[in-house]
Parts: sequence; structure tokens; C-alpha cells
Amino acid sequence: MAEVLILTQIAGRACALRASDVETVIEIETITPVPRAPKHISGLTTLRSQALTVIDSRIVIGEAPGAYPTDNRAAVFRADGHSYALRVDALHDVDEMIGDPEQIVGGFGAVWSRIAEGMVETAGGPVLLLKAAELARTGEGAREAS
Amino acid sequence: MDDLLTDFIAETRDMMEAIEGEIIAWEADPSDRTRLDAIFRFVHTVKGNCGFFDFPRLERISHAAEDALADARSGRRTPDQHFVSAVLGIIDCINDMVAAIENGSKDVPDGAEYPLIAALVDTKSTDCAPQDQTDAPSNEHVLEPEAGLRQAAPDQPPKPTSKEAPISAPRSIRLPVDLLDRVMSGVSDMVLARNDLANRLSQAGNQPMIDGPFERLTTILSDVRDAITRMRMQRVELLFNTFPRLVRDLSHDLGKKIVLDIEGSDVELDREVIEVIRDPLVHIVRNAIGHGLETPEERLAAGKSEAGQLRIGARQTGNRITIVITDDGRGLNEDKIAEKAVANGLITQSQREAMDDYQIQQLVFEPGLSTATQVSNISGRGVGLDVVRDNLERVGGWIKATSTPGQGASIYLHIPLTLSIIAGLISEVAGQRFAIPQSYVEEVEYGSQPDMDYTNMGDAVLVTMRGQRTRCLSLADILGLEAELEPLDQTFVLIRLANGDQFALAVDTIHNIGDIVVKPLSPALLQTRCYSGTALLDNGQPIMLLDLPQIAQDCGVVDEGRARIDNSASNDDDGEAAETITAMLFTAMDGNRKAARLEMIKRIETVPTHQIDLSQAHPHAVVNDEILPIAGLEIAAMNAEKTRFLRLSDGTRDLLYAVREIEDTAQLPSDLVPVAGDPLVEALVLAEGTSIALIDCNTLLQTRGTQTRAGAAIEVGAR
Repeated sequence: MAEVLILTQIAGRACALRASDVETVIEIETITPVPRAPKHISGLTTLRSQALTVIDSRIVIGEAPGAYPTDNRAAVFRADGHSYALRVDALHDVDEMIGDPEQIVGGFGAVWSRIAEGMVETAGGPVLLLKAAELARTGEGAREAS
Repeated sequence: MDDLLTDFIAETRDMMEAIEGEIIAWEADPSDRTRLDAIFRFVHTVKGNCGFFDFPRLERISHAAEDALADARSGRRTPDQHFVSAVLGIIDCINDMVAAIENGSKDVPDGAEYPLIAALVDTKSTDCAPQDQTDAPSNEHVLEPEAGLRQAAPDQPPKPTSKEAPISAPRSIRLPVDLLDRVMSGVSDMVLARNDLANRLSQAGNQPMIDGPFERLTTILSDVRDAITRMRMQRVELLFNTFPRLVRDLSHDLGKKIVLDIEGSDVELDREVIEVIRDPLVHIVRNAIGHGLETPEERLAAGKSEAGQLRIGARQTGNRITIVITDDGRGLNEDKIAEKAVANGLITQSQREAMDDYQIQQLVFEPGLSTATQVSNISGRGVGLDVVRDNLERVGGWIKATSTPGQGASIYLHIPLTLSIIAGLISEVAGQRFAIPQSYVEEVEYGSQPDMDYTNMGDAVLVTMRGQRTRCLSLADILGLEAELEPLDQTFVLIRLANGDQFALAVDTIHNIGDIVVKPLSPALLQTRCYSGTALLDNGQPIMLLDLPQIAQDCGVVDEGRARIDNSASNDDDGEAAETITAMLFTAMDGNRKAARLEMIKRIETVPTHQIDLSQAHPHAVVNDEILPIAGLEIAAMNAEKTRFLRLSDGTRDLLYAVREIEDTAQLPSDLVPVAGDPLVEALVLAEGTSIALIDCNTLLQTRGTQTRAGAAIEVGAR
């Protein structure tokens, strides 16, 4: 069976995460801001009694805060033993991946290339497959971009 | 199969740890039958389990030891020193082999076991043990690993879950830590759900149908939470069990005679804490034996007994564990330490002259100081004491050394009971809440206090709290927030770091003190260098735990030299307190000076007058959305704007006690003079030459206090 993807939109682009990377999808109710945190960290939210670090994917790729609206849903994933919630424009649907991730001539752009595995085809068209763990390790990249 | 192998290794390790102490005790008294039995069961179990796997060498060696020990048990041979050494050698070899199996390596040279087996041979008889290795006891053991146990201790019931049973340990099972953590977080979830439900129930009003079962649920939940917390605890014995062997080996190597005395093995510690202190303790014990204790000749020459005393003790006081390692050796050499510290640039000559012995002794915990002139395999190995100190401070503990020349030295390790639950002072700045670890908090002062003084010195801010001038940091500035209150309306938290550095932290308000469960932070948040963890409040909101040592360092308020000289002496008062009562002295509304036991005072509340309700028979005030009864109020003496109260609490009931002025805390003598007639006065005590009434907080709380929701909710909610 083909791998299942979670389709999402980040800064207006069609993106996807591997469903196996995503623990669950939550509706973020409140975000507790963390002063002095890097820009791309919106703060903390909770899933049951677990604190999640909220990463705003749009800021990771260098967009200004608030440039894109969000539907407040977030994908929860774990990286290096910590749990994160990824804020995106919207989380759409799940779909099957057709074929393997491919690179395109000229690349996806500096920031995108770092967090993307490659372009994959789905029944609904091509999407950019992202590496969840890379989004969490993004500290310096975000600052360069912003 | 791999799982079985992992279990086998873990089980063997556990048993090995558990019998370490037995072996040494057996060596001291080879005729001790119970020790012999324990060791026999160990090799027997190892042998049995080996048959299951294909470890012919391990089986051969354990078989040989088993046979020899069986002979000793049946009285066919008497264990002598030679025999004990041979058995010890075999046990070490088993250890090495198990380690080799675990690493998948061949660390143990082929044939290494034969000399050990040969050493077991009873010199007085010709009966050589390992003739029959190929027989098949293994089949039985495959099916019933406990068969040996039943043979050895027929009156014990079979313990299907207890693989450690052969060493008469309490029944236990092995669980992955992940699972424990999951159960713990599940219980935390339940507590949060309970708090949520409690809020909704209280909004819905009194409902006897539901309230009863709900109370029951609350009780059960708090029991379960306690039990879960205990699941993470281990007896410090596990750690101490390795010391007899360490001490024995070191004393043999160094030709010293040592009597080891271990106490407090039954103290329980969080497993994580045990891991944190394992290496430091070994290091300190090595140091004590390597440097502290003298050789028998030196000791005799100094008029001491030939054998050095080494004591390792653990003691629990409140939510801290103190571990003391004491030797009666030559003590720390202050001159040498100071000389070295000056030579290495840790302190200057003038600082050195200003330091007393105690301060010099603490230098042993500074990085870059080793008085060992040559590195042997005893000292100079593993971690330095500076790393030990840093590790302890990271978990909220501290370490100190005391020494008397020629009479010995003691190292005290103070460790929090658990890493994951700490008492936190919940403070607020710019509308956001942050937790301050309670262990750092010396005292809390309001800016409105008459003896508070606040001065700007350039960009720096100094506050004077009761005559003591301290550098003040604004939490709002540190975090890049806008404080909501003017500096003088803020609250100042006096922080004392583990190394004695002090500074005041200005926050907008202080809410309460609660036990909080600290969870690790993601790397992106750790790099802010402001926080050390996160926790959930009882309303389910996350709260950040401030990393005060890091903040102090980044703000440059850590002045190693000054701190050490000015403050470390006052660390001393942590020893056993004399018979005194710690009390808060205050002037009551009626103008008389009174005192209240400090442990009964939860905090000081300042309540605006409009929130005090005098219309009822008993006055009340609203504090943080709670209605609390008031005692000691004199309307005539009330200030126009606000009134200060001592919030008394016994954990279940709270009460506000009105005061005109708060003086200070004081140590009062414990000889109390009871007074008749006034039930609200516990006794008269002597303070500064005058008699002061000690108010009877218990009676006050029982007669006038109110049961608080907050008291219970904070306590359980935080977990």
C-alpha cells in the first residue's frame, strides 16, 4: 500500500507531511507565549497533560507573522524526544503518495530545500513533502530567513 | 530471543548488584549461612539461565562455583580466605562475561576462566568440581527458571513474576520507564479532568447526589497519584550496595584498613536522581579513601585506631535528601588548597587572606583545582568535584565540605527528593505567569513595605531589603516584556543561588506556591537561556520554569569572588537547628507585638479595603476570587486603602490574620510559658527581652478557618 500523506497548505503552497510522522491533528485553543523564544516558536499549547512547542511553519520559511491566515489546526509530531505542534494555513485531507519524492531542476529555494524531502505526486496534484523533524531543528535557519 | 537475552543480562546485573553487599559480609564472616545461601542462589540461577542460551563458558564457571558453594553449604568444606577470594574472582568473571555478551564483544580472553575454576579446588580434598558440565540440568531450567529457588528455599511460595526472588528481594517486576511515564502522565490528565469537573460542579451549586461520589473520586485519585510517585522511587540501598566492594578493593590496592559504615539505606530517591548522584558519590568515596584516610602506620603514629572509618549516610528531611560521606582521615589541607587556588588564578592572594577555613574548604568544588600531585588510578579518574557540584546544582541541590585537620572531612550532598516535582513560586509579570523554584527563594517583599528602598544606579537597580543592599533584576526586562506595575508597587523576590549569590527579582505579583511537575523543554526554547523546564498549572495552562542560575549569569550578577566571601559563611546554618521556634514577629491591630509560627503562615496578603466585608458577624475578605475569614481585625486601626494579613493555613483550612506591621522572622526559644484564659494565644515566649504572645494558629484555623478549594486544587492540580 502506498504511503499516506497529510495534505496541508503552508504560506499558500500545497505541502504534505508523512502520516506516519504525525501523531495527531489538534485544534489549537490557546497558545501560551514564551518570551524570548525564537520568532518561529509561537509558544506552548497543551495536548492532554503534555506541553507542545508550537512551531509556526510560515515563519520558519521566512514569511512575516500574520501574513497568512490559519485555521488553527496543527499537526502534532515528535522529534528528538520532544513534541511539537506545527501551525499551518490549513490542514486539508489525507491522500496516498504516488511514486517517490523527486527533486526539481533549480531546487525549491534555500529554506524550502532544507525542510523538504522533495516533490511528490498525489491524486490531487503535486505537493511538496516536508520533513517534520527538520522543522523542529530549525532555530538558525529561521533567523537567517527573517 | 533478543528480548530474552536482554532480560537475562538485566536480571544478572540486578542480582549482582543485590549480592555485592552479601559477598563482602560473607568475606568478613565465611561461616554466615544466609550470605552463603544468597551467593549460592546467584550462581545457581546464572548457571540455570545459561543452559537456556548457548554460553558454555559462563555455564562452566558458574557450575564450578555452584558445586564448590554447594560443598560449603553441606558442610563438606569450610570456607576460608582462599575460597572466598576464588568465589569473588568467579563472580567478577561472570560480570565481565555478561558485559561481553551485552556488548557482543569478546572482552574476556578465551580460557580465562580455567585458572579461576582451578583456584576453587579445595586444597584439602581432591574432589574437583567441574566434571559433569554436559549433563542437562538446563531442560528443567528452560521451563522453570525458579526451580532453583524452590530447592533452595522450599518454604517460600513460588513467585511467578519475581525473577529477583532468589536473593530474597521483595516481589518486584521489571517495567519499562516509558510505561511508568505514560501512567504518570495519565494520572496527571485525570487530575486535570478532576479539577475541571470540580470547577463545573461548584458553578452548578450544591448537588449531594454528585458531591459524595466526587469526593470519593478525589480521594482515590490522590492515593493513586501518591502510589505512582512512589513507583519512580528506589531505595538508595541500590546505590550503596556497590560501596562495600569498592571500598574493599581500594583498601586492598592501597594497603589501607577501612571500616565502612553505611546507614540510611532505606531512604528512597527518584531513580533519575540516583543516576545523577551515582558517579559523584563514587568519586567522593574514592577521594576519601585515596586522599583522606591515612595508611595504618600513619594512623597509629597519629594516635588513631589502625583502621580508618568511612561513613556513608543518607537521611531524608522534608523534600530533601542529605547524603554525608565522612572519613576520620587527615582532613582537607586548607593551606595546600588555597595555595593551589591562588596559583591557578581562582582567587587572588588578598582574597585568600580574607577567607576563613570553611571558605577555603569549599574551593575544592571549583573547577581547575586538584590537589593530587600525581594522578593515580584512585583519584584523578572520572569526574571532578566541580562537575559534581554543577550536576547537583542543576537539579536544585548543593554540596559542601567541612573538615577538621587531623580528624577527618565530611562532604554533604543535599539533593531534592525528585527531579520532576518541585515546589514553585508562581509569579506574574505583564500578565504572564512564571514559576520560580522555591528552593532559590529566600524571601518575598512588597515594594510598598516601609523598609524597602529602591534606587537606580546608572542602569543598575539596587534594592535595600531590611538593611541589606542587593542588586535587583526586573523579570519583565529579562524577558523583554512591559511590567504592568511601577517598580515600587512590584513584588521583590530575594533569590539565593546554590553558590550563595543573591539578587532580587522584581515581578508584578506573586500568586501561590504549588508543587509543579517539571517537563523538559524543546531545544528551541532551551536556547533562550531563560527557562529550565515547563509545567502545567491546575487549569491546564503551561507555565515556564525560570532558569535562575542561567539568568543570573547572563545578567552578570554572579560575582564568584564576592559571593564566596560575603555569603558562603551564612550557608552554615543549615545544620541541625537548636531547639528554637521559627516565627514571624508582627504588630497586631491592637498595637501589641505578637508572633506566629512560620510554618503556619502560607503567605502575606495585602487586601484593598473595598474587598473586606464587615457586614457579617464574622468579617471576610476576597482574595484571588476566594472568600476567606478574617481574624484579629480592629476597624479603628484599619488603614484607609489596604490592610495586610498573614494568611494562615494548615493545609486544609485558611484564615487571614490582620496585622498592622510585619517585623521579621526570628528564632524564638522553645521554652513556652502557657497562658490561661485566652484560647487564641498558644503561649508567651521571650523575644529580645520582652514577652510576646505566640498566637495559636491551630485553634484559630479550627474555629474560624475555612476549607479552601485552592489549597487542595493547587496541591493535586500541579501533578
